[in-house]
Amino acid sequence: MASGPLTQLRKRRPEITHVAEPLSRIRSPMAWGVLTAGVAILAALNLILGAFDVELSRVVGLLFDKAGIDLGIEYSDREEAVVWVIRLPRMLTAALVGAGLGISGAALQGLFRNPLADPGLIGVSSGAAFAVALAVILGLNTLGLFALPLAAFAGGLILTLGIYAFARRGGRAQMATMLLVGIAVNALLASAISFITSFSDDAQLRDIVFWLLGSLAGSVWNFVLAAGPLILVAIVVLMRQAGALNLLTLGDAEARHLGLRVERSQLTIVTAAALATGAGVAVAGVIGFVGLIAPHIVRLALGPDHRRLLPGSALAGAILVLGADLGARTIAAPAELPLGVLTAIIGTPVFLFLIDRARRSLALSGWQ
Amino acid sequence: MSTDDQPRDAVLRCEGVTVRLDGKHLLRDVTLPVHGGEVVAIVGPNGAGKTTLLRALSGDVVPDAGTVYMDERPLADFDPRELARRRAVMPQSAHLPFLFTAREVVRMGRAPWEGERGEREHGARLTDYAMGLTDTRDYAVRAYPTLSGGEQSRVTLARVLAQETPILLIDEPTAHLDPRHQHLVLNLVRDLAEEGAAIAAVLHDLNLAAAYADRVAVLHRGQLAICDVPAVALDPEVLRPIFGIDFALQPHPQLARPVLVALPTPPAGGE
Repeated sequence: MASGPLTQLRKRRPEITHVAEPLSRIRSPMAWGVLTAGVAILAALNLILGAFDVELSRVVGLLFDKAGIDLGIEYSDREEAVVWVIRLPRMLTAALVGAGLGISGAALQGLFRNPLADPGLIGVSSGAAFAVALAVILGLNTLGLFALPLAAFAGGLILTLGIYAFARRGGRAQMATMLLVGIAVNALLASAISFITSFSDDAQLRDIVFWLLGSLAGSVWNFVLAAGPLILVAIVVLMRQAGALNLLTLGDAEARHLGLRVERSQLTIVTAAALATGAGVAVAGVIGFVGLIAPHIVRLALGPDHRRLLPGSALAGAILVLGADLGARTIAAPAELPLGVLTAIIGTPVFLFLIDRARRSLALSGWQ
Repeated sequence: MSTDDQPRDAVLRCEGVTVRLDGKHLLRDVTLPVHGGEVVAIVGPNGAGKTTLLRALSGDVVPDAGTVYMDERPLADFDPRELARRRAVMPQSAHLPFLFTAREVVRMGRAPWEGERGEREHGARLTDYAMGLTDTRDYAVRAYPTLSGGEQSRVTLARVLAQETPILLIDEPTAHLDPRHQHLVLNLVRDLAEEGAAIAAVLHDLNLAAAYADRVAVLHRGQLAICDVPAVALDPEVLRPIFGIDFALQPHPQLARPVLVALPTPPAGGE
């Protein structure tokens, strides 16, 4: 153990200094319980509810059957088709996409030291959207089920890394620069997408808009198997950067003074967030607000420490998308509402409430 | 006072350091050693290059010419973590966008030691101790952004102290502080120097430099005008052309150190 000047001084001036643990530690067990239960309950509801409801016991029996354990619970072929082929992959996609968006939002807000940052800001969504629009207009979507997701994924990742490379020119990456470049490029690509849609035919337009509004209606097992591992790897990588993110909130120079390899952490975080978001956008289209709101909700309950904030935001993101998709499927059944519209409708008032609350608590403590 | 396991020879040294920005010299050929056990105050008028010198010493700014050595090794040879275990840097202002508690912020100072045996307890102890020394225990569980400027400044100092390094680079540790806390902080800095730490501190207040520094480095337009004991470096004849104002040197009522009184009329021929 090191013995620096402070330890020496402590031997000479040993004041007793015990400090209480922060409040968020005390509140955290309950918050974890609520988050985990929320995911479990919404996951179950997504399997049970729909155009026609399947009893919970039959869902459980079917799942155990598929795992090779016969509980002796009877279910019909129709129920098996609905739950196993349609609802389960869709539920898993919702949970994975939501978790990826939530944790990416939390990581990027920490990286940019800005609570208003969102995975969309670094170009993942607009890069993906532009690539999809381009692919549709070029007729590439006829190449197969994975053509559009691949285009989306590649478009998002390439644009994000391009923006990062631009911000990093001449040495150290300026995160503020990256944010501003992201905003500018987003605006440009929004225009480009409008331009493309202006001369696309009706079928192409429907494809592009369906995708821009976000939807899980097309979820199949292959999407889960393709996007799932990418999102899970990104989640693990981001969790390992939790300590680095705490230091980065102090500032890039401060983090470097505390021994962090700042550029390496930045690149790792940006890439992992782009992977998680890009994989999500590829299979579900553009889903707004989740990456912005999930971390805010979790910060209220668990505090800003990324070691708790990142896993908490993954769970909260999963809850938001599972809940929104449940609504999208059931509110106007048998018709479906666009998922991205629903997350925006839920997200905006929640966000306003959170801002108002933060403003009030800060005003009370005299912070401008 | 000094003990055997204490590295008293810890030293940070810049040699002929020049820093340019857009063709303008922020620092020109500055050579300054900081030895273990001493406090070097860096003073000078606004824009003289004080913060730039500190940033060069910390490795934030790579000099256009010259080298910074730590323990006789060029700074560039250290990996960030190794560096963070040897020297800590206290920034001028520390804005934090999230509601970390003061104690969480101070605990971040332990980051370079994470993974060491016994660090969990040792880190918690030193965190509490550093907060006690800086008189910040009362706001341990308050959110850092809600603290006043002076409170934030002392919490940041506590974080820097918790890092437990033999070299400290401090930018304006007394800005925003009331007189009691100014002296509390600088007494603390002195105490650490007596335990062997090498400390360079940018100070705005010449009298605080006079009262607490072993040597005072006076910067003028990016150049080191003089670096000597306070009585020599803070001579009114030295300061007049640099600060463009006259000073009277008075004896300190308690200490064997000079006190400077600024004389309001600018001298003829001054800047």
